[in-house]
This record gives sequence, structure tokens and C-alpha cells, in this order.
Amino acid sequence: MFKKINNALNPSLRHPLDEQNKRTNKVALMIFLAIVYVFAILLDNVLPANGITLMLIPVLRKGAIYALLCVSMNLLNGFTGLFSLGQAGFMLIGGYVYAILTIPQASHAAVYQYFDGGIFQFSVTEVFGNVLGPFLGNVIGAIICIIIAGLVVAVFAALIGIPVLRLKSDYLAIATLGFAEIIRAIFQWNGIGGITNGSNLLRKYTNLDNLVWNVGSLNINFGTTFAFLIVTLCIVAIILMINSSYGRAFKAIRDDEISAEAMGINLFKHKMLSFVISSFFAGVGGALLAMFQTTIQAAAFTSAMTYEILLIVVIGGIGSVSGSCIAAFLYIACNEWWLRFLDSGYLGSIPVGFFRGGFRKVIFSIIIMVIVLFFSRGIMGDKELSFTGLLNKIKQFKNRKALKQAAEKEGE
Amino acid sequence: MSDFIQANLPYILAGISVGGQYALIAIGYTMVYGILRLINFAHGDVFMAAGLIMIFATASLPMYISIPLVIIATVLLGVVIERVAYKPLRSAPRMSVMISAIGVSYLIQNCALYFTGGLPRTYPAIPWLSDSITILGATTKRVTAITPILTIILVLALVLFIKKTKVGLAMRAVSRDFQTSRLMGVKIDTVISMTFIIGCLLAAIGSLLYFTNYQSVTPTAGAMPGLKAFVAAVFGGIGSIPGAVIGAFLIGIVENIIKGIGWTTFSDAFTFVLLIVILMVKPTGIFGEKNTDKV
Amino acid sequence: MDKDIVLHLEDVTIQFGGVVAVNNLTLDVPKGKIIALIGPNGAGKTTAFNCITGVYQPTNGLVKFNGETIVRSHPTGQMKKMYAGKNPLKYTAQYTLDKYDENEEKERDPYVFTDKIIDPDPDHVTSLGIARTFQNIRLWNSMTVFDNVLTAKHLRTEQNLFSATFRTKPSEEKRMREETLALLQEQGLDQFKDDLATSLPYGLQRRLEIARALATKPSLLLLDEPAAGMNPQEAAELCDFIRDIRQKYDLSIFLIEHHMDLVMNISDYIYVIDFGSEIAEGKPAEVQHNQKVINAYLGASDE
Repeated sequence: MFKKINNALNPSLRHPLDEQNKRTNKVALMIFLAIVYVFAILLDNVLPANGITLMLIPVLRKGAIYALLCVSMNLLNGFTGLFSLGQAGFMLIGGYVYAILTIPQASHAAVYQYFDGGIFQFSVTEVFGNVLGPFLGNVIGAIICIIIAGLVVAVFAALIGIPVLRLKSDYLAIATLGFAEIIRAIFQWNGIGGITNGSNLLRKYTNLDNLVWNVGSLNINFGTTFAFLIVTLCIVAIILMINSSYGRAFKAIRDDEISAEAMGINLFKHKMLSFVISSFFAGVGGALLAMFQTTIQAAAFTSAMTYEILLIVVIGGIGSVSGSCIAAFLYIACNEWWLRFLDSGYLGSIPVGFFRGGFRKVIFSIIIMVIVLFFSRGIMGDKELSFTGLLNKIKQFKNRKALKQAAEKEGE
Repeated sequence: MSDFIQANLPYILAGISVGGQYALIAIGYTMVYGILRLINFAHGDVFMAAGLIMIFATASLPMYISIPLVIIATVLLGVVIERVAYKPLRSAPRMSVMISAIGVSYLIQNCALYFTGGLPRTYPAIPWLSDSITILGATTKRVTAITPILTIILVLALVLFIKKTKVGLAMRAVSRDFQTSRLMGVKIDTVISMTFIIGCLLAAIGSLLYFTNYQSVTPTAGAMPGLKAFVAAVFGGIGSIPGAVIGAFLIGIVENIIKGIGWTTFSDAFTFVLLIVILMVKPTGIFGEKNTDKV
Repeated sequence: MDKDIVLHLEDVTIQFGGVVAVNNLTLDVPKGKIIALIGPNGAGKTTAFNCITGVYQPTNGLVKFNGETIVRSHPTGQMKKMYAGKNPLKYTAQYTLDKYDENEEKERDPYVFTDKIIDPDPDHVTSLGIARTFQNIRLWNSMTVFDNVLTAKHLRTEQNLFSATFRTKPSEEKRMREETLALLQEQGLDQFKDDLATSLPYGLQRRLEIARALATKPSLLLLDEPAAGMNPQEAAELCDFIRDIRQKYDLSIFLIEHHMDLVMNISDYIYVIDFGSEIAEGKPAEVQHNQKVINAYLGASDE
């Protein structure tokens, strides 16, 4: 307590993030992203396909998509303080809108085999492909369909938000969960099977591996790059918004609704903005997930999926964008790759009896519980990761080490 | 009307039965919410775990040992969850406790996945309860007829317990005002444990009845009944036991009638439509009390 | 109607169930003056504040701000059965004409012959130019001192979501930041600007709350027990501080306070309420010697 006050009263103890640091961080981030993009292209095309790269590609793609999904959920739960559990429902709509719009005309009969080839008889990517060639057509068509998917979800969210956002914390959670379940039921209803294909899955739409550029004899795959590009753009937009006047208003609502309202922040309007924006990106994430999975089925978008994303957000730190991103990649990497051996029955080459199907998930949930109970701030708390921050940490660590050594020497 | 009842009798009977089973789960939700203001997302999974314990118990033990064992194990599970996952967070924000509940739910489901290998397990037939009987010309299992009666007896016993005993008085005091009760010397931890004991006891009984009817247990089998029971609790006014019971019967019956009409896809969605409607029209539920924030 | 009256409360009654928290309170806050509302604990002072700022809807009565009715209610709504006030039908269409001059009344309240209820949200009231502080400090805990004030400027920002997000109007953001810094400087808070609001000492937190309220550019400031928990020296400083900001921002100030030295020192006019009803009003010196007020504070009976 005293330390806190002392800290407050002594300006020399504070480290404000000044302009210089900000610029350094920006440059560092740019360099980092450039490396990531170069690596993504190399990974998709140049690097030899072995055990590692074959795992790395899906992990990076899914990790990026989950990063966006987590950041969009964090915007709502972490930055605006609205405990919403509708994420899976919004992802479902986004994924379906995207898939429906991009199934090639020729494949309609096969995909909608129980519904006379479906109602829509066009594919946006094909329409663009006819004009711009298959690669550009696929890329531009996909981007347009992703945006449409996000917008459709945003409209849905606005409609749902009108009644739901007046509810208080846990009622809001359960109402959004309810809406997600209703959406899932509607999309599985055979009555609109001409559009959604009922309870059957949608497939053959433009997916990440269709984004291949044929230059002469060269085939350049842009799958991973595309996913990263969309995710980066979205997360940058979210970060910009969080740091704007509106983002501050969201945080004010999270910290204290009553004083936020008393300071002239219209609660309903701002909650709605946050809800709609978060849902827009959830829809974009859903569309990307559909692209990644190559097939999509409404039955998979259960509340368990929402819980999974929520728990990743908690691991990363509620209220930290960088935390969400780090946690998403870690989670996906562990889940899909690093902890796979737990399910295999072997530790190295030694057979271990209890290492069988599902053991990975058990370990996982125990880790999550430990984080929730003992490290409730997660990886980043509500702080953001930055280059200069990292440098400072390293410096502090070195200083401490040096001091320790000096103290030890003195002791001698 | 009588034609309608005649035609739908099997569904109505099934609805009443399922309603009773939901009611037994819903009480656990509503009591925990009344006292801790926590949606115990793990409660449905405790219910599922009770089903699995029964399957594993009957594999090697006779029925008359298995049933009490299931009830005791479920109650223990509930108390352990409370002690480990909720108690340390008593002064934390509500969102953290809710996240912890979601985490517990995830853990139980994954453990179940591990132990069952992801395959649905067949629930043992409990003699007498599983026997077929005929009611008003409709053939059904005896459990269908027993459930509503048993539910009502248990609920009455519970209401008496809360009205007449000292622990019941303490429960009512805590649900009214947590902090003041604590200051007045109510042993808060005992009361909360008691709440979980009652909730899990009823969930265990509910699971015996429910799975006798449905016969198979999967790791996610508890999620949907759990959510429905929670909606029932919200419908009745969360914190109110009679409200939860009425809500549960209503949901059970309507859901089965919808199935009877042939709209099976929407039988689950109906529950949530009901939830949304009740939250819009009367967020505090039919028997709920209003509380306001102080400025 | 006096043009110099900034805030006017008329017959404001607020009931919660059977409890009358505020009973037919009528008062005026003239422009540029400091008016105090005092009374024992539980007298209904904060409830009156909450009614002005739109948190509670009154059972009956109206609130005017700069001559414009901003809150208006009447007991024919859902609270009719419980209404225990003096003028049950005064704000309804059943209003009896023969008692009053029609034109005069219409000028007083344009909605006088209608059943119109005006029940604004708190943010709307703030946007009209009424800002408040809270009895139990309600700062935004996760934000720095600087961000607390900057966020309050959101109400008057000219950026929309797009221009704010994509920084298409950097000058506006710059202006907001500069104004915030200026505000903090004159409150003497600029050296703490990068600290968390909650890490400030208590007295400074109160000051920060006032700075935050000023950031919404109010013309009327409502202060709910600004000196609570302060020592006499801090309270004396606060006194000068309130006078300064009144001068500087051309404010009218309406405050609730228990600190009698402060109230007597600073106020131009004082209203005293007890059990929701007004028991006295007047200049500080008059109120100080009013027997009813002394009785209310010392707990003696009225005879």
C-alpha cells in the first residue's frame, strides 16, 4: 500500500511509453510481420515437406484464425466487460455465408444433393475468376465474401443486441449462449436446406489451398499468407479502435458502468458498437475457419467451441490483444501438434498405458484450471507485449543478475 | 383438446417425465445461483458424471451398492468442485468465477472423454425402474411414471428442509444478503457446501432416472440437459425452487410435444427461445425478485 | 421565469415502494452561485441528485435546466397507488384549470396539460451540461489519471467511429489530449498523469473526479460530498479550489456536503432537508441558527 503511494508520488519511478519507444515498437512489429510473411510464403512453397512443415502449416493457419477469434471475443469480454457467449453462433453464420457464396456452380448439384442443387446458382469467386483469371478471382472473391460474411453477422448481432444488451452480466451470457444455440438449430433445419444444405455439410467452396498463383510453370501457394493477411488487417483495425476515443469509452464501461454513463457515454450505443464490431470479426474468423477446414457443418459450432475460445482468451489475459494472439498460437500448437504424443500411447518409444486417446485434453483442461485459479491474469494480464517492453525486461533481468553477482562478490 | 391429448399422450408422458428430471437438475442451478450468484456451468457435467459413475460401478458391483455409491460419489464430486474451483475465487469478480465454472465443465467433459474413449456407453437397466408398464393405453417404462412423483416428493422435502431447519434458515439468510449473514455468524462455507450437497444429490437421482430412459451416456450428454435445466431455473425466477420446478416441467412437456409434431430440430431451440422471451419480458422470471444497483 | 435560474426542481417526490425518499422538494440554483443541499444521513440528498441526473425517475415533479424541462414525471404512472405527495395531479392532463391561469402555467411547463413523462438517461443529462461526482469515488480503476480525464472528453468529441479508428482527424485527437493535459495541469495533477487513478491519495482522487467531470464541459456541476474523508486542511483547500473552478469555467455549483465548516464557508444559499422534506433554507448564517436544523442534526424532537 505504502509502496503504491510512494510510487505515485515519485515521478522518477515511472516509465511512460514515450514517442521514441512507440516508433521503435512500430518498426519492430513491421519487421516481425515482414519476417512472418516471408516465412509463410516459403513454408507454403519452398520448404521441403517433412514432419515439421506439414504440422507447421495447419498450426500457423489455424493459430492465426483463432488469434482473430480470440481478439474479437476479448474486445467484448475483456475491453467492454460484456460477458457474451455467442461467439460460436456468429462464427457459424460467417462460415456459412462465406461457403454458400463461393461454392462453384458446377459443384452445386453434388453439394446440395438432397436439395435439388440448392437455391443460389452462382459463386462469387467464379464470377470474379471469369474476369480476372482464377487466382485473382479467388483472392478478390474470397476477400469480398469474407467481408460480406462479416457484415451479415454484424447485422444479425445488431438485431440480437437490441434485446440482449439491456441484460446484466450473467443473464447476458446465458442469453447470447441461447441465441447461438438457436442459430445452430436454424442452420440445421431442412426447411431452408436449399440455402444451408440442412444438417449436411457444405464443401467444395473456395478454401485456402485454392489460392494458388500459376506463373508459367511456377505454382505459388498463398494459403497461409492470405490467412495471415486478413487476420493482421483485422487485428490492426481492432487495436486502432481500442486505442481510440471509442476504445477508451468501452474500457470506461467495463471499469464502471454507472460513472461511464454519468460522464455522458451512452451505454446502449457503445455496448452495441462493441457487440457489432466484435461479431463482425467473429464472422470474418468464421469465414476463415471455413476456408481452413475445407468443409463446414453447423453441428460443430456448439457452445463448447465458445468455451474453448473464451478459455484461450483467459490464458492470454483478459484485456490484452497480444496475450490473446500468443495464447491462440500456443493453444493450437499444443493441441494439434506438441501435445499429440499424449494421445499416442507412447512417451518417446516407451509405451505408456494411460497415454491414450483424450489424455491430451485432460492435461489441457488441468492446465487451464491451474491458470484460471492461480494465474488468473494469464500470460499478459491486461498489458501488451512490446519490443521496448521486452528489451526493458531483459535489461532489468541483466541488472538484477549483475547486482546479485556484485552482492555475492562483496559477500566473499 | 381430448383428441390432441390422446394423440400426443406418449409425448406428454415423456415430457412430464423429462420435466421431472430437468427439475431435479434445475434445483442445483437455482440454489447455487441464489447463494453464490454463480451460474454453475459444471452442474450439467456433474449430472453426466453421475451417469458414467453408475456405468463403471455396475460393471463390478451389484445394483444395491452401486446406486448409493453413485449418489455419494456425485455429492463428493460437487463438494470438491466447490472447494477447489469456486472457494478460492470468493472475492474475485463474478466473471472469473463463471470462467472457472466453464473450465470445470471443460475438465469434466474431457475426463469423461478420456475414460470412455469417446464412445457412447450403455446405461445399465435398473430392475423395476426399467420395466415396461401401460398408462392410459400408452406403453412406457415405469421410470416415466415414477419420475414426477419422486420429483414432487423430493421438492416438498427440500422445501420443508429449507423452511424448518436451522441450515435452511441459514441458506435463506445467505441468499438474501451474503455479507451480512457472514457478519451475523452464519458459517458461510458450511451453507455453501450444503447447497452443493443438495444440488448434486438431486442431480444424481435425476441422472439415475434420466439415463434409465435414454440408456446411453456420452461425455457431452450433460451439456444440453444442464442448459435446459438452467433455462428452467431462469424461467421460474432464479433462486426460486418452485419456479425452477414449474419451468422444468413446462420445458420438458413442450419440448416433447414439439418432437411429437415432427420438429425435432427445433426441440432444443425452443428452450432457448423461451429463455430469450422470458429475459425480454420479465428478466427476473415468474417468481424472481428484483434487485437494483445502488448508485 | 427567472432567466438566471440554471437548475430548478419543482415538487420533486421520489418513492421506493412505501418509502418517501424525497418529498416535494422545490429549489433553485441560480447562475454562478454555489448552492448546498444539506441534511442528516439518509435525508434523501443523493437520491435528489440521482433524480436530476436521470438515474432514478421521480414519482412526481419536474426538473428544469436553463429553463428547459429535462425530467418530468407524474404519479399517474405505475407508482400511482403509492403516491403520498402533496400535488397528486399537478403534472397530469386532469389538471384543474380553474385554480390556475392557463397561459401562465403553460409558460411554466409546456407539457402541463399533457401526460408526457420525460425520463432521460444519465448520459443525455450530461450531454446537456450537467456533470457530477460521486459520494463513493467512481473512477475508472484500470486507467491512468490522464486517460480518466481524456475518456470523459469522449462525450464532446467530433470523431466518429471511423475517423477515430483510422485516425483521419488527428487534430481532433491532439486537441483532446492537449485540453486534458491543460485541465490536469491546473488541478495540479499533471505530475501523476501516467499513474493509475486508484494509486492516488484519497484527496487527489476526489480532485481527479472533479477534473473528469469538468472534462465533459458542464455549465452546472453537482458535487456529492466532495470533502468526505478529508482533513480540515484539505477541506479548506478544496474550498478555494471550488471557488476557483466556478470562476474559471463560469460554473454554477450544487453540492451535497456534511462538512459544516466547508458548507458555511462556501455556499451562497443552503437548503436543508430531513426525511426527504425541506425543513429550512436560507443564507449560511440564517441556517446555522435555525432551530429546526439544529434539532435535525442533534436528533431532538420538534416539540
